[in-house]
Order: sequence, then structure tokens, then C-alpha cells
Amino acid sequence: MRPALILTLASALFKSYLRSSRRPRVSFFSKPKIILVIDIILFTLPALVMFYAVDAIPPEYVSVAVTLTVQALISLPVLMTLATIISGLMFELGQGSAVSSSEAVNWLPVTPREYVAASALSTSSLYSFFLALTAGVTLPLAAKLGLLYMWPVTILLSALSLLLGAFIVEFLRAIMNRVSSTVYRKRGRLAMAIRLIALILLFSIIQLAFQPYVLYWILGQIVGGIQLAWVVPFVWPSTAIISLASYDWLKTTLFVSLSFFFALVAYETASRLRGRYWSPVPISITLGASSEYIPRGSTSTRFGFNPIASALAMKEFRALLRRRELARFIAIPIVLAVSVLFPSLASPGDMSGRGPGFFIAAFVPFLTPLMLSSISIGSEGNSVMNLLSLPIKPNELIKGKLAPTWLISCLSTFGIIVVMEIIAPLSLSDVLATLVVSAMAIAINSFIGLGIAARWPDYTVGSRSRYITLKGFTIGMILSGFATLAVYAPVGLHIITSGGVRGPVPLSSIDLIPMLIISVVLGGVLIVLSHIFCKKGIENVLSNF
Amino acid sequence: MRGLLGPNGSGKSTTMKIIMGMLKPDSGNINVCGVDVRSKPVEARMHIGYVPETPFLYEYLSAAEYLDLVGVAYGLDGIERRNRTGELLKALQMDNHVNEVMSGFSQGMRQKIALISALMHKPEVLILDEPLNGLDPRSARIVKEILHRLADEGVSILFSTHVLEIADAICNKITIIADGSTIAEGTSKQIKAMSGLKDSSLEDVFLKLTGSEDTAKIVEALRL
Repeated sequence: MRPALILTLASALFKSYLRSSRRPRVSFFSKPKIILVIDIILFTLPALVMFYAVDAIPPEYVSVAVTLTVQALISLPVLMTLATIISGLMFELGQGSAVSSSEAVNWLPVTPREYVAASALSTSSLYSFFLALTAGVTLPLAAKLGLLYMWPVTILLSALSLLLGAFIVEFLRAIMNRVSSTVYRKRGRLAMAIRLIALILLFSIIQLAFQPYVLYWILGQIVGGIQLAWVVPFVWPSTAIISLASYDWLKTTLFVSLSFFFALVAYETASRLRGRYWSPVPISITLGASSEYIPRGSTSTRFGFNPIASALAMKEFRALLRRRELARFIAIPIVLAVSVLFPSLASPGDMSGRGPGFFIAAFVPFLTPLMLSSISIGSEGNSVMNLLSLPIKPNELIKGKLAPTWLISCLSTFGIIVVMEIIAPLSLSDVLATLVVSAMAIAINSFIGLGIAARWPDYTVGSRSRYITLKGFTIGMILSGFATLAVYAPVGLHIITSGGVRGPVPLSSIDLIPMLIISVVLGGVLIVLSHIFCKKGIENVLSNF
Repeated sequence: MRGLLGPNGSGKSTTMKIIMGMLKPDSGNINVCGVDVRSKPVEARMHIGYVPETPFLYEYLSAAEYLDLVGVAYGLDGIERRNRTGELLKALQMDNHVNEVMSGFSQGMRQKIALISALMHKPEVLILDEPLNGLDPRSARIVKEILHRLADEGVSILFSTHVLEIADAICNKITIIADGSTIAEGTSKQIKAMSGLKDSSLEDVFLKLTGSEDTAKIVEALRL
């Protein structure tokens, strides 16, 4: 073990993470020191605020505050591990497989132990803000509520849990690389489908885990279940804090020691796995038994697509289905559906009106087409040159690029409207009107998305690539936000005034038909404008590249 | 200096990755400077300088930061790193780009950084997978001169290229592989003699040995 190498490699990995926001020059904001500054601010500010806020707690609520603080201190280590694992996995999944398999560290003389230590150190440093923030919030609470004896142990164990989470990420990374390449080689097309479904499920579960409802439930389970679940090594740090809260020094010492031991075991296991699956296995996917090239036509030529647009559309579909780093984008509609539906399903009593269903349904045709189309130029990476050197007309490129966006957006919008119809039913005429305005919103937002993708693409392919610059994304969100509002507002006004929300409304009922006509006219105008915006952007890409 | 030649997909890069301990061989063992690569890949790598076919360097590090990492990995102290790296950076005209983030580098610039990182620790063995790819003529000439000098000093060099004139001009020995098997081995002269094309170019010999000498017929049949 060479500490100097571990620190240098950790710093290199850390800088790579930080700079993946693609700043052209090395600035202060792309140096690890910035994290230290952020950590100090995140510790100091909440500590100062809480220092004065604790004094404002009325005496009758002090005992409740003590209980809540103890619960928070107990939960911190487990949450720290969970947060690191989830964030680490999201990062890993957002990385192209070509990047991880050709990493320079694979051919440098770096031992698996050194690599795992460096990588875990950089991962835990990246998420240290979470520890700094919670330490800042809990210090004044612990100090003023007589729990100061618990605080240093909690922070120490939380830091250890952060590192533990990073070791587990390393462990999972090695397993995932191995399993992924083995499955790919053995099962071809089927393996890709399995992996896509697994990735979408994983993203949805992660999204679900951060829902306030679920988070609240998890917190309750952690505190309530830890004493029963002490056999699970992940909760040993929290068990040590519970023991400390009840002044059981022997148990505290035992579980603190066990926590350190478990972290060491996790490190050793991750290192051994890294050693075993050190060599990146090149992936060669065979999609057919025949070695002969058989040109195939495309079914989409029947839907008004000429052969070039159809071929481009198929290329886009295949990219979405086969590129690991794009799976998170295809998961967007599902994640959105989970986000908007979960609160409704968790407390159906709040959905007595018809309006919420309509407005919740509007999120999918707003965000799904915008996000999918806005990545469609930047995600080409360097290979955009191959595409742009072909004799393609702007309209063909627009159709080809937007075909997957339209299909995925339409299916997910239809799906969410069906689900919302079950939870908060609308009348048939209102459902049909919602479908009409949703279809228009999909067209507008996909054109806006492709328009900004053409103007502000980010061709960098690497860890957590966004494929669109922050400026482009912000402009797209604003344009699409206003456009969606304009299209939905008239029909929405009808739904609100005709019993869509609880309580009195200061307007008398407005008929659907005139409102739908306004929506359709506005939608028609916006479709034309957004198409012009999109076409001009694509023309610039094709002519000035 | 041994040139490793072969058609696309013949196994040149795979062979090199196996020597580096990055891929496990189906059978057999490889020793580099007396170190078994399979059981001690990291120790073996300490003796090797490697330039991969497509060097994926850490995109968001500056060249200086990357070379620092490589130097520390090879156990060089600060003075050694500064001296060795400084010389190589100047020779390959990269000294003005040393503090730039590598994501903006051209293919040739990346290749130069990969070459510098392979040479900075004075390795006993050099594994170079198409090292002249993307280099400008001046840099390519300098790299060839460096390789000659290193070979004279006793450094073993395994060098893959598709430019057969280069292989003919600078390699002492040549190995031609196809479908993962060696089909010819020896000096350029020996291989030419073995193939019965004594006075032909290495290109003609290569095409004959790899079964693709009838290129004119293939082009004719293309109906272009």
C-alpha cells in the first residue's frame, strides 16, 4: 500500500468527477479545495441558525425535540451508507461502458487495494457535504438538549458509514462489470432487454426511495427496527448509538468495534473482487446467428417516414435501448409517473377533485418529450460527424431524431392518463380533451427540445453526461414550461370551474368546447413556431458543423 | 524491437493486453522481466511502459495532473518526474499544453501524453499499440528515434502498426499473426525469404501470408 499513490489517485478521480461539468479551464471551482470550503459553509451556517433556533423551542416541546434529535442521530449512519450507495450507483450507471473498461488505471501499476481505497476516498469526499450539513444541524441540538456525549460518536460512525457505502459501491461496481459483460456475451439481444428493464426498475426504485412519504416511512422503520435488526451489519453503527443513548458502554464499545470490523471486511471484499475482475472484459455482442448482411426495411416507412428518416429513427431507438448511459433517460417517464402518482396513491383522500389528475397528467407530456429530445444531438458524441456527413435533409433528421421521443411520450402520457382516470376520474369529454392537448404539448415540447439540442449540444461523452449545456437546458425548460401552460390552461380553466377542485371557485362554470378550441388554436400556433425554432437549429447544425 | 503485424481483428491488441495482465489468457503463462503477469500483474507493470490503441486518459485532468498520477504510480519522486517529464514534453512539443485539461486535446496530443507516460519511468519493456497514430511527421520521427535509442540501450519493444514500411524500417524482428496465431516470425529478410518473395516489399509478403494478395480481383469485383 502506497499512501502517496492512494491520495494522488483519489485526487485524480475526484477531479474527474468535479470537472465532468465540462468547464474548459481548470478553475478554483474544479479543485478539491472547493469541497472543503462548501463543507465548512454547510457545517457553519446550519450550526449558527440552529444554535439560536433551539432556544425558541417552547419548554413543553423540549422532550419531543430530544426524542427527535436522538432518532436523527441514530438514523444518520444508516442514511449515510444508503445515500452513498444510491449516489454511487447512479454515477456508475451514468457512465458509458467504454469509459470504464479503458480507464488508464487498468494498465498502471496500481494494486486493487490501492484502487479501492482511492476510489472510496474520492466517492466519500464527494458526498461529504451530507455529513457536514447533518453535523452542523445536529451539533447545537445535541449541545443544548443534553446529548453532546452522543454527537462525536455519531459523527465518527457516520463518517465511517460514508466510507462503508463507498466500499459497497466498489463491490457492486466489480460485480456489475462482470455480470454485465458475461450476460452480454452469452445472451445477446435478450440480455440487453433484461439489462434495460433492470436499469429502469433500479432508477424507479431509487426515485421512489427519495419520495418524502417513503423517506418518512424508512426513517420510522430504521429507528423502530434497529434493535431487532442488530444482526444486520449495516445497522451496527446505529445500534452502537442506541446503546450509547441508554448508557450501555459495553454494547457501545462492542458495536463500534464491530462497525469498524465490518468496514474493513467490506474493503477487503471489494479489493478482492476488484482483483478478481480487474481485467475489463471487452464486450462483443452478437445479435444474429447469420454472418451475412441482410438489408432490412423498416415498418416506420409506412407512417410517413421516408427511408432515411426511418433508418435514423431506428438508429435512435437502438441507441436508447442499447447504451447503458442512456437508460436513465428512457426511465424518465416511469420515474415521472412514480413521482406524481406515489403521493396520490399514498393518500387517495386528497384526490377528491378531478383537477389534480388533469394537472398531474400534464407533467409527462411536458418533461418526457423535452428531456428525450434535448439529449438527442449531444448524445451522438464524436460520432455526430458520421451522421452529419450523410446527405440528410433537416426534416428527415427531425423526424428520425424525434420518432422515439414521440412514441415513448405518447405511450407514457396515455398510461398516466389511464391511471389518473382510475384515481381521480374525469368525464369522457374531459379525457378526450386532455388527450388532444397532451398530444399537442408532446409535439411542441419535442420540437423545443430538439431546437435547444441543436443550438446548445454538449458532445462530451463521459461520466454523467448531460448532452446539453446548462444554458440550453434552462432555456428549454422556460420555453417548454410556458408553452405547456399556454396549451393546458384553457382546458384546465374549464376543469377547475366545473368542479375540478374542492371548495368555492370565484368563476362560474366555463364550457369545454370554447376552451378546447382556444387550447387547439394556441397549440397549433405553438407547434408551427416550435417547428420553425427546431428546423432553424437543425439547419444550422447541418450547414455549419 | 519487434513489430507485431496482422490484419484487423487478428489479435494484436489482445496479445498486448494479455502481456499487460489486463486480459486473462485461455492458457499459458507470460513472464515480464521474470515476473509472472498472471499472478503479479502490478509488479509486472512496474517494468512496462504501455501505449494502448485508443488511449483513454482521464479527460478532466490536465496533462500535468495526469503525468503526476502516472509518475507516482511508477514510484518516481518529484525531481525524477519533473526531469523526465519535462524533457519528453519539450521533445514532443507539449510543454505549452501541460496545464490544459485533456478533454480538449486532439488525438495526436493524447497520443503524445500516452507516450510520455509510457516512457517517463524508463521501462525495461515497451508495449506500443500503434503508437504513431495521429502524430505529426516531426513527432513521429522523434518517437522513432527515441525507440531506436531505447532498443540500443537494451529496452525490449513490442510495436504494432499497420504501416508496414515503418515496421520494415525500424523493427529488428517481425511477427505476423492472423486469427490469433503466429503465421510468420523472424527478421524482415527471413520472412521475405520464407514466403518466397525475396525481393518484394513487406506489404506484398504480408498480403500473401495473410491470404489477401488478390486485392486487385476484389476491387474489380466490387462494381463501384
